[in-house]
Amino acid sequence: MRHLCLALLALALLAGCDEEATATNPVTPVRVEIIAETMPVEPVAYSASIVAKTQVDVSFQVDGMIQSLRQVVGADGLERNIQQGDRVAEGDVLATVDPEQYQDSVDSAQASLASAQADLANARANWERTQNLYAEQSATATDYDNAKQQYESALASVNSAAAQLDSSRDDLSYTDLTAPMDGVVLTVDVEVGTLVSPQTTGFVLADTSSVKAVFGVPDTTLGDVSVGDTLGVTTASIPDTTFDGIVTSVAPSADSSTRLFQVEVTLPNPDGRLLVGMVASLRLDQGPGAGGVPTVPVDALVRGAGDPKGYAVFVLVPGAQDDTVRLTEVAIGQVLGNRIAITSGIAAGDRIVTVGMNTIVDGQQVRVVP
Amino acid sequence: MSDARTQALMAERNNVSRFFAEHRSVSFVLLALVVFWGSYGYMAMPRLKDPVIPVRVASVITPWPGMNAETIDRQITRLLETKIAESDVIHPPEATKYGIQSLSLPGLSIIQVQLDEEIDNPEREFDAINLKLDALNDELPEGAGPIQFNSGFGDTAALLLTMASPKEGEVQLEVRARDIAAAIETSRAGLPEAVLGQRVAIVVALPRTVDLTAVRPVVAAFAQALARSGAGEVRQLLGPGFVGIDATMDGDDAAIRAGLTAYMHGNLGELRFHPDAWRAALIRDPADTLKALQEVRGDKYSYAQLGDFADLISRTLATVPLVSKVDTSGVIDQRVWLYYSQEQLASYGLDPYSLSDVLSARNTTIPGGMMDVGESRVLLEPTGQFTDSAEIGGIIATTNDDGSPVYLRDVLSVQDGYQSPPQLLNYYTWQDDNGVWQRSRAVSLAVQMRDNMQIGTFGTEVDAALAELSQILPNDLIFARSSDQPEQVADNLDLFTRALIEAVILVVIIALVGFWEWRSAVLLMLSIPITLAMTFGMIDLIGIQLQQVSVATLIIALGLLVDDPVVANDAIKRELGAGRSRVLAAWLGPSKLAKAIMFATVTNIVAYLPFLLLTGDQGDFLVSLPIVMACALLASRLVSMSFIPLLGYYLLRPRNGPEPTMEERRTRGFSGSYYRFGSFAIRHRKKVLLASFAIIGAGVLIGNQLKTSFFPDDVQRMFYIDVWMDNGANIMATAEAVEQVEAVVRRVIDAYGAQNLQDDDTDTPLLEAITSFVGGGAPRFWFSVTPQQNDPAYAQVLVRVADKNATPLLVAPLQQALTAEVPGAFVDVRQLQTNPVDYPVAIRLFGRATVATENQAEALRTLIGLGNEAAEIFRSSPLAARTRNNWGDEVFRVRIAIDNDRANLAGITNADVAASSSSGISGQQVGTMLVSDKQIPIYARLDITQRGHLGDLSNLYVYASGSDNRVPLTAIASFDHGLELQRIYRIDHFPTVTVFAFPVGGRCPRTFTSKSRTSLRPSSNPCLWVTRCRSRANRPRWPVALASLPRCWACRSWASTWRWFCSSTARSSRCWSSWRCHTVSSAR
Repeated sequence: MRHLCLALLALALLAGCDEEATATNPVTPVRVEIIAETMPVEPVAYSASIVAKTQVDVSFQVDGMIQSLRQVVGADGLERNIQQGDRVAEGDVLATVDPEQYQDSVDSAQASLASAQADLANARANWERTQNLYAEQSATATDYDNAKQQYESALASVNSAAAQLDSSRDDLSYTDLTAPMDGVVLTVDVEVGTLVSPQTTGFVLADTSSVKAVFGVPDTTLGDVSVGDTLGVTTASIPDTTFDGIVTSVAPSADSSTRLFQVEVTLPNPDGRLLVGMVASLRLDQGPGAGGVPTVPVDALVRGAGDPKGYAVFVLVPGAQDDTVRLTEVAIGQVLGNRIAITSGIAAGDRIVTVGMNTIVDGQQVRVVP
Repeated sequence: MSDARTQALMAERNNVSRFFAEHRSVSFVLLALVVFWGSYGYMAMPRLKDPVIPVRVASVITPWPGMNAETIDRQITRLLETKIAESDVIHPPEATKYGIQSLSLPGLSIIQVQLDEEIDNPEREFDAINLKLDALNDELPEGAGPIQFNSGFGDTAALLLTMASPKEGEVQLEVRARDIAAAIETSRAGLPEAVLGQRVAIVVALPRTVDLTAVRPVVAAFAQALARSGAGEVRQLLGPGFVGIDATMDGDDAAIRAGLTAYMHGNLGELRFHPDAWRAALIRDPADTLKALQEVRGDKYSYAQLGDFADLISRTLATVPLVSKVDTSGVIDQRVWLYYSQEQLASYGLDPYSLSDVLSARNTTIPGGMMDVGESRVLLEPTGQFTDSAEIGGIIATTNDDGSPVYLRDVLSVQDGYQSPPQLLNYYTWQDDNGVWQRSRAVSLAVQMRDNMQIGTFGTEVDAALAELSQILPNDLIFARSSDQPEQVADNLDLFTRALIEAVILVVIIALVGFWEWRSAVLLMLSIPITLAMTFGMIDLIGIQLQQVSVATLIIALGLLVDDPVVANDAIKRELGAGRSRVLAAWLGPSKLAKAIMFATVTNIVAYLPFLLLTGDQGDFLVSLPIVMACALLASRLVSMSFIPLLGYYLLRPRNGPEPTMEERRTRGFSGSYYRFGSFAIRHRKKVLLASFAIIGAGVLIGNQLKTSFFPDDVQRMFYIDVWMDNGANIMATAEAVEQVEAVVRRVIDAYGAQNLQDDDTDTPLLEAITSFVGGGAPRFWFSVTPQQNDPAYAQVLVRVADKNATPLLVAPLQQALTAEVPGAFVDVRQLQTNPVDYPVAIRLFGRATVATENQAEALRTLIGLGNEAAEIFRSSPLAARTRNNWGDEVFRVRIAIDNDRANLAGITNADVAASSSSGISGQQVGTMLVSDKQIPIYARLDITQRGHLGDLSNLYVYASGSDNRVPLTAIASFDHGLELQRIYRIDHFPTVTVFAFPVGGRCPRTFTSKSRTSLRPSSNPCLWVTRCRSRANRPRWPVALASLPRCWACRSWASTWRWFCSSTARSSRCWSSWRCHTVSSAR
């Protein structure tokens, strides 16, 4: 009986024998990234609008009703009135005001001139006669003076009538509105039959052989742009093309409401692809010497060990048997994309931990996983 | 038993046993009544899984979008905590229980309030607190609030139903493949032969209900990036249900995919082209299109459709009488996005502020009036509301100089989409009919049952409702029960029934062996059901429900139930053997032993009564144990005095042959040996007494070595995995980590199944399904698993296996594999527990210093520093794994430092800057579109290419609200970078850092607790003290416990609690206040 109890007890103990749980702490996995070669500092983008190099409102100088507009051959081969987008050359007649009244003025002026000339002829003849008579002392001094005066006055009348005729002729010529320069018609503000008067704008012409991109910069960035710099301009409507322009003017004073300084960049536009009113964007490099710096992803930064306001990253220290990490203090610079520039602490070629910083501490053994 | 006593008893008339033995017909009627009563009680009792523990925890959530955690902690959390603390029913602070606990996150303040255990009516107290908090709404800072009080925080869902979208069908896939192949061929027409070999088409498919305009701009941007990076002849593909790019690229598929992911991450900040889009398919040869599509086969239904289905199911289930509430999670809200580019908007003279005016002018819901026409009333309804995103595009935004209209679609791009980024994502992984594992998007519905109802009925009614719905919903939708309480309860009751039958059989066998006659065995066999019937009747009357504790108690009681009948049986037989008549013996025997039986019963009952003294949740959990035990024992006493005599009369007969005499008994057999042993013991009584003390002493020593735990882990078919990412992780990074976790889980479980289930039926795989919740926790599906609030850095993965006994064995290998393979995340594999303990070993450090507000930030940092020192000590022990503190890391943040002078001169206010930046980057609501019964918000946001990465902030323009000014942000502000706290926990008003760790592979947590405790004593740094060390040991498995004796020798645990208080007024340069400390031993 006793033996039986002992045997049972021994069996129970043996039954309790279990394999030692050989559980060990697995090595923490991390993902690393090799610090890329230096990246350039990213320029700041500004949005600009395209304006024409020269833009002029062509206005009428006479009043009257518009008789006709310039006829242009349209896309369908038929002639049509001039409209926005049409190109004109210097001197092209854009619109014609009804010249009738001006023609009448000219005629009337001519008639006046003729009449004045007739008077002049008569006055001259009279003057000569009186001069002769006076020389022969057959005419009085009064007659002499009168004749002289009549002659001079008739002369003046002729001049005046001539000038009047010129003026009427000018007015007649103004009934044809001509383009003052080569360019493209931006807007046509009148129609046949419109009653116009001086100062009425008939057409807006723009010379788009070269255009200007205009944008505003704050005073802090004024130092980065100066007249003569070359800048690249892109626009969303013409993708994959960069237009090079030269800064032609920087405003000396800021706009009073936005406090921005207007900068103009002139771009050549020989094929007319850049249209007035397009929205463009350009990038301004920030400051001289903005070379490249090593960058790390923003989420790889952790708090530094010593300084409560400092930053650090985990740098992989490869070893013969195992890799460890070292917490390295860094100083940060500017944000570029989703990365941040590091101004000191690491160099290109270092491998830093990008995934797993929350699970490791300084000096811990890690395992690199893809 | 003396003869006189026997005579006295025989003369007694008022004897219950006598009544039952003599008036047998009445007794049978009573027997029938009792059995009927018991059966009725059993049927009618509410059946649940867990005992009803009154919920005493409520949550208070206050949003303040865009504000950092420290400000929220100071301005909102403190304010609310102070107000809540005014209530006098809050639980007093204790080592393991809190009164008020809070977490401040960026943009959100979460406070949990726990009431005192004495409170019987928590609802009323919660209402009082709610009223107080409502009054606070006006005092909150601008932009904060409203305060949301949730007293239903502790309700457990009876059923967690997951509805997943199936993958696209084969036929549909072929149709797509044909369209895509045709498009690729068309696009490649005309290219030289030499190039064709290097052409790769990247195609993204979408459900056909999704409008392609949402995806095209992103693909176009990608095309441009590709062209810039050197790919040749980039052409865009477009067709029904797909968009893509065809280009000449070198590099293999993996490299191209990596490049695509890097582009999405880096330039667009998104992880997919569209939430509903499939993964990109790489097609080189159009003939392989079908194969390529099969690899990236996506989900058939879009999130919008799943949302609609979920809505229908939720409404249908709400009509079931036993259902009290249905919550859905995983649905991504729909939105209409208006993407604008700054230049575009500016060129039209518009700004984001004016967009909402433009929309509201058109989207009118103001009634047109009512007209009386004759005898009726006619309603006049002006149209104009838009019900479709295309109509939004047709709204006139502004007019040109000449009066021609500019439509909104010319100015910006209108797209149907979803909330971006989403708040919670739900995925379901299952095995389809071909045995292939599929993972697809899902929506989960948490269905709650009314209190005190039958869970079995609940289960059948919900099943019926879902069966009806299956006729309306598409029949290929996948429904799964991630957590099914009816099934768990059925399992439990199944267990009980089996145990009962086994018990009956065992009793019969033992009785047969012991008594060596069938009559006694039958008597005992009959006594068990009668006793149980009476027990059920009694406990139903008292109001106990049938749940796991009462069922467990009944199983324990089965053994004790037979005690009294055995004794009674023996007494009857003795009387029969003494030659009395059957009737007399039947009642005389038990009556003689009545006092003995009664005191035995009373002793047993009293032994269990102390459970009633337990307070708190443990007390509520176990309250049914002593009551059921008492009823069972009482019933067995009553039965043994009443029905046993009745049955004994019929069943028992006197023994054949004479009884052995005392002399014979003393010499032969077992009784002989016992007599000899007993005599020996009495002769050498002193020595025997000493020996017994020695045994007691040995027993005490050995007992102390046993690993203890109050409740073992609950062995269920389900377990869960918590995934904690880095504090600043966005939801997409968490989703990627969860995919990796799921892959590891599948692999490990398959390997385990292959290894260990060779002899069993290997057709059914061990892993049944995986349900994951990314961006927050699952709704409360288990009473002890507290759901986490929405947090993009957190995910919860529920794993269901076929065999519940495999669960404890899977935990260790899974944990090992997950820790070793998933970078950047803390992954904890957790079993379901009955007695919930968050962390096995935790140290809490709390700063009870009263400081001026200026020092607040410094105080928090000092606290974290001390926490890190404590964590170091944990890490130095090889037994600690996954050490961390619950505040996590600091996260990178950008602060826009506005130069007020410059801003003022430019006419910009700080509000303008904030509005421009937040509306540009995150989006700003500018209107609402009413579509059937949904209100879909309309958001305006910067085009994706202008806010893809952090550097785009410098290009942001700020619009003045008061004028037409548009100023670049860099003109009036500079950017300040820094690292910022993301989480601030407070327990009972003071900031508390909890440093915790998990023991490696099943070791005793006390081992390293005790070792580290010495290091944690006041060190040279007078500010570091330990408070509240808590540990929870593993569950004891009997054979292993025995063998682990030598290992656990080091785990000395002193059962007594000790504390010491040390306060120090030492003012070192790092301590500017006094810190109190006390150490409490490992609580059980």
